Formats: sequence, C-alpha cells, structure tokens
Amino acid sequence: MRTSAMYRAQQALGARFRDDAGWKVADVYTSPDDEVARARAGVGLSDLSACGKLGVQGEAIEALVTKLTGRPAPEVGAASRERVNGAPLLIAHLAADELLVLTAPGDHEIVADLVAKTADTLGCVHVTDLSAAFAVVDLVGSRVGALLERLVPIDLSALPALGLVQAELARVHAVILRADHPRLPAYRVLVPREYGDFVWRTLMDAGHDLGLTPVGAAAHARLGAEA
Amino acid sequence: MSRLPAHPAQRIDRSRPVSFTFAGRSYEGFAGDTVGSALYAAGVRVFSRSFKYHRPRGLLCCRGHCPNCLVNVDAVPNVRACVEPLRDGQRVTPQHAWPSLEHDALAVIDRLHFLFPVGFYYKTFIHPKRLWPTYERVLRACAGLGRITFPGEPAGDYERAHLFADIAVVGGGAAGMAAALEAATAGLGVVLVDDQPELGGRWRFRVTPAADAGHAGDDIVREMAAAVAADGRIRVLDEATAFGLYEDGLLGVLQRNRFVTLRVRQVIVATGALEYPMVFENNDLPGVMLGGAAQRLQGLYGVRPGQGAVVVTNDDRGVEVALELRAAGVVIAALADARAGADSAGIASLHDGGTTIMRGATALAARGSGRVTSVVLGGLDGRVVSEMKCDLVALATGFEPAAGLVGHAGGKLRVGDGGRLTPGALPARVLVAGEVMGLGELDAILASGRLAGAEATLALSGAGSRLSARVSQLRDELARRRSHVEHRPASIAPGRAAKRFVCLCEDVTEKDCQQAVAEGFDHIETLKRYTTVTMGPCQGKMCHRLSIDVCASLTGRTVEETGTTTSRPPAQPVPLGALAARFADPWKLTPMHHQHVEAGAELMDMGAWKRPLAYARPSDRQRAVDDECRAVHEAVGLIDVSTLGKLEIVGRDAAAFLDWLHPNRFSDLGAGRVRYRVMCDDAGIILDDGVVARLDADRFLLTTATGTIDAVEQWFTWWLAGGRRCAHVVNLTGALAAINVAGPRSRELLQGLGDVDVSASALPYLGARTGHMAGVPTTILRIGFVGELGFEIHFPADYGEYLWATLMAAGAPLGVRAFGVEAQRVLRLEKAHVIVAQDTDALTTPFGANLGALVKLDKPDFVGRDVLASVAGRPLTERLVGFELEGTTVPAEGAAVVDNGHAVGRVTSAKWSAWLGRVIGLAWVPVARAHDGATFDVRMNGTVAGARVALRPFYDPDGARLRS
Ligand code: FES
Ligand code: FES
Repeated sequence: MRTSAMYRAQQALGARFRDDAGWKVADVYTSPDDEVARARAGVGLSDLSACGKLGVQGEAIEALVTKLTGRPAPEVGAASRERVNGAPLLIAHLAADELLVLTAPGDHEIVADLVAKTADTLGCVHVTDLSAAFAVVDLVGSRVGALLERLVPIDLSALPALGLVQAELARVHAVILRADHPRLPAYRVLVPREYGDFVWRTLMDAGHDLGLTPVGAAAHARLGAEA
Repeated sequence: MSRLPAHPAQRIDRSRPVSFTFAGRSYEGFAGDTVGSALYAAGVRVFSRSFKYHRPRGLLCCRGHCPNCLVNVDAVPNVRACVEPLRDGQRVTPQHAWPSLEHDALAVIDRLHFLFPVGFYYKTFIHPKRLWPTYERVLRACAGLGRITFPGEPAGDYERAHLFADIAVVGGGAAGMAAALEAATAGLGVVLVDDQPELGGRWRFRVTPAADAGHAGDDIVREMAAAVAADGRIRVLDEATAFGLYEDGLLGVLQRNRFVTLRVRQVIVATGALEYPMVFENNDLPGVMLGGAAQRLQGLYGVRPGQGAVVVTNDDRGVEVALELRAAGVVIAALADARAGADSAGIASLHDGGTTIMRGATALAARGSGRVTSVVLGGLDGRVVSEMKCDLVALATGFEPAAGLVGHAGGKLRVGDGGRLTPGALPARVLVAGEVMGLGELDAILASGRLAGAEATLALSGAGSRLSARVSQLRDELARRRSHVEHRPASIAPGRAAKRFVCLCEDVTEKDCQQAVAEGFDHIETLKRYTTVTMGPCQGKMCHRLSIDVCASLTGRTVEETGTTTSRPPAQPVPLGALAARFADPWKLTPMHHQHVEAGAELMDMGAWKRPLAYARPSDRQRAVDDECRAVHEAVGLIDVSTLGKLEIVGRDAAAFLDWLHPNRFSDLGAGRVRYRVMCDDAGIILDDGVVARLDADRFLLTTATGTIDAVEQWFTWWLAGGRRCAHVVNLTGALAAINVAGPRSRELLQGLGDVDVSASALPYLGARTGHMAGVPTTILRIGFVGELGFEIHFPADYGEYLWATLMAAGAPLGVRAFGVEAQRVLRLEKAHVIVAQDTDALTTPFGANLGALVKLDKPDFVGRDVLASVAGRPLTERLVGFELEGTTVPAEGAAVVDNGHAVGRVTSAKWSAWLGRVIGLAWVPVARAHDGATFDVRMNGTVAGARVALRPFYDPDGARLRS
C-alpha cells in the first residue's frame, strides 16, 4: 500500500481511510457535511498526494502537449485542464522546458504510458514519474487568502485562475497553483515529499484561528462538484 | 487612585476591572488600560532602573518611544509597559534591578559615577590581558537589559504574515488618513500602518475641544477614522510599528505578536513628530515627563499625571499642554517659556488661573529623591530665579520629524529655519506628509496628506490630465495653508552638573560627551560610536537631536555643520522571536520516520533531516550501537538511507555529461552496472562522492551524500545551462526511499521476496537491477558502505512504510535488526571508507584522499582536469591514513596528531569498534608517517595516546565479504 507523507498526521486526526488505486486516502474526518460547511466558512485542507505526477523536460515539450491534447501548451507560469483518452489532466507549465502533468490516481499508469510514448517520437524530451516526489494539498475556502498571506512571501492575490508560481511556503519551496473550486477560492500546493509532514502540521497550526479543517476525499469531491 | 471623571476620549472601560501583579504585588486596572497607565494610576512612579547607573526611571513618553518603562511581562523581556495592553492575570516584573526595583544594590554605581567615565570600558578592561575572561564574566553578569527566555520556558508566541499593496501609509494621524483616503478614492489598494490601537494620532487624546484653524480638529479626525474604516480598499494595521524600510518597497512591520513583511510600490511616511526631553540637571527623575505623555495619561486612560505641575516650553504647544493639564485638575504652578516675548490668550488664561508665567525661562534642575518634588527654574543665562514645588515637570521643548523610515531609504534630514530638522530630498517611491514635514496646523497637515496620496497615485497610475490637475491643485492648497510654525529647539539648559543626561538609554551625560570631544571624538558619528549615544533601545528617539545640539555646542559648530547621525533599521526594537516567527525550521522526514520513532530510535538532525542515530535511549546508545554492528556482521541489518541525494540523469548525452563532470569515466559503464564516483571542482578539490548506476543506455541514477545534494544538483544544472546537450537532471531525493540491507544473510532475506534474482551470479558486486520487491517497483544496487554483503534498494517513497515493515517481518527469523547512523559510521570506519567533507576538506584532491586511481587523465577533458594533471606527479606532503589507537578512549574529531609536542596532522574520524575490540580512525598525517606500522601520537584532553598506521581496511581488507 502507498501512503502519503501526511498519512500519519491524518491518522492522528482520526481520519478514516479508503483505498484509491493502491493508495490509502483520507476519506472522512468528521462527516462530509461538517467538513464542507467548515471549509466554506474557513479553510479546508485536503491531501491530494495520491494524484499521478509526471515530470517532462526538454525543448520539445510544447510539441508534446499539442500532440497529446490537440491544443497548445499553457503559457509558462500557467496550467490548463485537458482530457486525454477520457482521463482529465492538469498540465502545469513550470518553466520554458519543464512541465508537470497531474492526473487522478487511477489514470496515472495509462497517462504515463501515453506521455512516454509520445515523448519517444519527439527527440530530446524526457519523462520522469514524479508521483512520489511531491506532497500535494488543496487549500479551499473563503479564508484561504488570509491563511496563505501568513505563509507565502509573494502576492498570491494577483494570481489568475490556473496561474502558478514557485515560491516559499513556510520556508519550503512550493509550486502554488490557483485552482478555484466552483464557488470557493482554492490553491493547489506541491512541496517536496520529505517536507509533507512539516507543511501539513504547519498549515494546521497557522490556520487554526481561521477555522482551518482537514477535509477528506468525500467532502473534497463535493466541494469540487458544487455549482 | 488618581482616576479622572469619565471623558469620551478615554479608552478604559471602568465596568471591567483587570487584576495583575507587578514585582509580586497585586494591582487592579481597567480593560483598555496599558500596564503603564494602570500602574501609574495605582501610584507607581518608578518603572525601571537605568542601564549603567541603575538610577530610578519613570514614565517619560507614554508612547513606546523611550527606555524608561521596560519590564518583563509573562516572561517576555523588554516590554514597554506604557503601550502594553493590560490583561487579567498578567505577571509583570521589573528587570535590571536586584534585589528590588526600590532598593537596587547596583544603584551604588550612581554614587561612584566618577569611576566610570565614558570609554572606561575600553580603557580599563584591557589590562592585564589575561584577566579578560574574568572581566568578561563579571561584565556580562552586570550588562544587558532583561533576561532572555530559553527553550522550554514560556515565551512570546509570534506569527508571520506577508502583505502586499499599492501604497503603504505609515502613521494613522490626520495626514496619514488623508493620504490613505485620497489614494483609495483613486482605486488603489492601501495598507495603513499605525502604532496606536485607534486612528487619529495626537488628536485622539485631547480633553479640551481643539480649535484648529476654526475647526474642531478632533471631530474632523474622528470622521476621517470612520471613513477609513468604511473603505474596503484600505486595510488598517493597528498597534503596528513599521520598523524598517528596505529595498524595493519592503516594510518590516511588527503588529503585536505578528511580524508582517509588507511589499508596496509607494510609501507615504506620515509618522508625525518625535517629542524629546531637554538637558538639565536630574532630567531623568521620575516625574519629569514629556507633555504628550501627560496628555495621553489623562486623555486616554483618565489618569491624572500629577497634582502640581510645572510646564517647561519654548512654543505654543507647552501652553496647550498646560491648559489641558489644568482642565484635568492639575494645579499648574508655573509655565517656564523660553520665549522672552511669549504672549497668547492661553498664557493669559493660565495667568488668570494663578499660574506663574516665567518668560525667557527654563528648567535648570529637578530635585527629589526617587521622584520629583521640586524644579529649579531660571533664566537662559543660568541665573536661578526660583524653586517650585511640584510632582510633575511637563516638557514641551523639543520636536523633531519621525523620519527614520525616510533615512532607511537613503533620505537625509536637513537643517531648516531656526535649526529645525526636516526631511531633505526624498528617495524614490517615498513621500512624506504631515508633522514629519514640520507642519503644525491641521489644515496644512490634511492638505499635505491629500497631496501625498495624489502624488503616489499619479506615480503609480501614470500621468493623466485629471490626476495631474489634482496634484497641482493640492500643491497650491498646501502652499496656501502652510504657515510658519514658531518652534526653536531649546534642548540644553545652562548648567554644569554631572547628571545632565543626553541619552537616557545608555546613561550618557553631557559631561561624557564633553570628555569624548576632548579625546578627539568630535564628529557626530564618532561621538555616537564612542559614547553609544543614540544606540540604545529607543534608537535615538529621545537623544538624536540632543546629541547633535550637545556636539554642536561643545565643538562651536552650527547644527548644520555638525550634521546628523544615520538612521538604520530597526527604528524600534524587534524581538528576535518575531523575526524567527514560528515557521523557522522546516524539517524533512523519510517515509519510514514514524516506524523508527515507534522502534525507540534516538533521532539526530542531519541538515533538515531527522535520522535515527541508534535504536535506543541515549543512555543505552553504546550498547545498542555494538549490538547493531554485530547484527550486520553476523546476520542482517537494515538502515534507512532515504536521505541520500539522488539524481536521475537522462538523455542522449547523459553519459558524456557525467564524463565531463567527473575525473573518472561513465560512458563505458554497462547498463545494469554501478561505479563509484568522486566529483571535483575546477580546482581539483573533492566536492562530493557517491555512486552512478546505469539503468539503460540513456538513464543513470546517481547518489550523493545527504548534505551535498542541493549543491550537486546546482552544479549539474549550472553546467547544463545554455549548452546544447541532450541531458536532463531530475532530483529524486524525496521521491525515492532507500534501504540498505547489509550482512551475510541479506541475500537470504531478499531472495524470493520479489522477481529480482539477487544471487551472486545474477546480481554480482557493483551490479544494478530493476524489478519488484514485495510488489514494489525497485532498483537494487549491489554495493556496500559497511563492509558486508549489501544491497541498496531504491523505490518510490510512498511504499516506504510498507516495504520497511515487510523486510523487518521477513527478516525476523534471520535475526534482522535496524541499525542507525552511529553503527553505520563504525562499520564504514572498519572498512576505512572516506566521508567527503568529514575526512576531506577544502584542499583535498583525490590524490591526497587515496582516490588517485579514479582520476583518468587519459580522458579528453573534464572539470578540474588541468589542475589534477598538474598535481598528479607532485609529491604529497600529507595523506589520509587509517589508524588504530591504544586504550579505549575515542579522540574527538579534529584531535591533533602530534610529533614531539607539535601538531603535524589531525584526526578526522574515530570510533570504538566493539567487533574489532579497539579504537580505530582516519587521520591526516605527514607522508613520512603514511606507511603501514608507522606510529604517531594523538592528543586528547591534555594527554597523548599512541597510534599505529594501517593503510588497508581494518576489516575484511580484501573485500571478500563485500563481494561474496
Ligand atoms: S514611557 Fe514607555 S516607552 Fe516611554
Ligand atoms: S535615549 Fe535612547 S538611544 Fe539615547
């Protein structure tokens, strides 16, 4: 079984886990209703580390994206939501020659295979499975801005939808992506896996007075689906 | 209690009493009080003892600007009582006094002051030299202010925030609010930083209706505060001090327990004026107070500052103070006004009320024991006119612009009319407004605020006809309303007494300055450094101007010729805890961390990583290490080596790139093979070592030491940048967990656990295979750092807990044992394996470290080649060798290798090996001693022990076990 870097911290918070493509994923802490309500009023913190992550490097990455999706790659410093063979992808353009492709846990293998095969046709472009390289959290809720201004030394309010930056979060290098839920502001944060436990505990601590609450996969899905 | 009747300006809620203690005694105040106002209301007059002479000190500024009320509040030192909000149960203790504030033993220094002239410290404590350690101990015990808290003790809890805005307005008085409203109206985002709990500046605490140019100033200011609060584009940081202005519009702000970095595009400094005292004999006696302090006490907290007062002034502000005090029921015995022709309706009113008006007069001395009981008044020529009884001397004599932030940005003060200081040319993106410009009338102050807001808007929005017109309209308005403020600083009263303080923080007297000037420190900057004037906790707020005036009068120069000192951040002391805040030390955990903790591991810090040192309590460490080593030698041990740096080098040119960065060769390494790597810089110095495994034609896995991965990754990326190589570097340090399985039974443990054949023929020494182990995708390297048959398993970190638990369970029948870093260090030393940066230093080339065989000078070129080629044939002067030591004492790393009493080398590693039954180590020794059996001495704790050189590993010197 695969466990995320925040697994033990979630266990200590009383999370109930379910299996998702070989991962133990925190599903519920209190109840989905309660978690959704608290996230709306404050901030919800979800562990999305189980998502698939592919690192792509090389000068041909733009061609790779076009070949995969039929559309141009997002600008550097932005992400785009795509669908490949029915699998939803989030393609984050980190630098001129670097992409990060995020998938749902269950889609990872198929997408990884497809991306690698496409890359093989394009010369100097290389794909690395980074699924274990990052701890990923989603911060969603009405007070998420107040939480992040405590931790991030750059101005996130200017970040457009699906804009991303690489910055320190509580002194840990992070990729921060603006990924709003339908009715709530949200940020997806990727940090090196080894800092996952620290970042989780730091977020819990820093967001305490803002009503930060851990949100399981069930409530998170509901927040993402609400219209 | 000396509380006044209720007044709308007051902040206290008399229905909510608050209990607290001070110096062990219980007191009561009200919600809304500060610690200082509550104590003052309860009759406390002495709040602290001075830094050098331990003289009693009382409230002086009531604004958080001076050093006089520093106390310890709930274990946090150096808190200013006059601005610290009162809370129930607060424990306030005096500091810098023993045994008590009232009877401080060190107050004897005040009597012996003639023994401690300025500079005595530098002159006295250098002779005789050998006594310096003793001096240092005694001085340290006496010096310093407050006691810091140590880990485990209760202390302040600080937070951090990062804010951004178009404009920061610093100062929430009339000018600051006007500026903020003007900019917000234009649609810009504004953060308004104010050090008070409510906006309004000095208009907040008036108890008599103010009439400024025909307006009720306090009403106007109150309305503006409401408008600011209602404006969504203005964010107010109250009780927040902007302590520094740094490059690119970065402001450091301390808001209560929150350290805020505020990044803006324009800064408007509307910080008002600083009130400072004047120099006369005993000007530090409790009861000598700045006029604004007295106004605050009565206006905000309803505390009568005294029964009978003498007001000393040189302009109309003193008259205003006297009228305000009188309105609160204080008897104004005298008004000493330095202006010979002073006259106004206010003065007439005071006179009619029985106040003695003394024109052309000032304070010459304060009298009293521990607090003021009278003040000697006299002419500006020093002639004594009378001594008036009073318990309060209110000074309204000196104001200077609070322009510290302007100074931080590179702005200077210039000397204007009548010797007044005002900000000169303004630095980029900084504007000023209000009293900091020397303005006094409310209308002019408001106009300056609006103008600064409009100018900042114009600067940010680009020229537009409407905005430009608005700016010129406001410029005209300011020019119209600006009136000349009659204020001549009068900071030094005539007199020659010893205790005429210039700098209260550092207890520097006028006499000290005199002596410093006589000794040649006659420039304001050297005077500052020699006497430490302006270098105390108030950062010169109370003495900046006084020191200039004193320097000018002692040197016969004008104020302009004397110049000013340089203002540097922080403008206000900032607790170190606030700067560190609470997110200071990120830690890194391996995926198996919690399993190590559950197994009772003693953890050690290795950079940000937490690693098991040994699986036992510290008291049992040696026994545990011995047992862990034995398990590796006799059965099988597991060590978590996930902290190793790991890089994937991928691409058509990956092999050539590795060849370029290393003295040895990788292009000829076969797929499925591993090779030791050592990497050098351009000067041939060893940077790092590890292994490289070739996974397929274009893909390599490279390991580095735990502590060098960041530097190595940077080195690789730097060499790739801009080139046309098809190679990429991916840092997989956190992505891959790694377990080293070592010991004669390690193969038994792994064989059959997965689909990788780990037999000696299928996976020989220095082989690499990928496959699955207990269902987990793994890369297995057949290498060993500890001298026994070993396998290093790399796999996705998310499986860390699972695979560790699986291996421990599967290995139980074989006697498996987890081993920590300490056992690993012993085991590697038994093999004389080198640790780069521990056994090598910033001068070590591969030749000195016995790694010369790795340098392939027949390669076309590589980083460091030229230097390595030039040193290759040269004789070495010293070499790294293994040694065995007599006895059981382990020398410290760095212990000297001695020859005839002279240090000729050093020990880099040493451990007790229970398996070998002796102390072993590595040391740098002269080449003459670098041969088998040579002897040398190692110095330890004052004694020496004999050592014998062993050039081959101490254990399994032929590596048969490793290769088995
Ligand atoms: S009286 Fe408190 S700082 Fe001055
Ligand atoms: S009075 Fe504070 S530094 Fe001089």
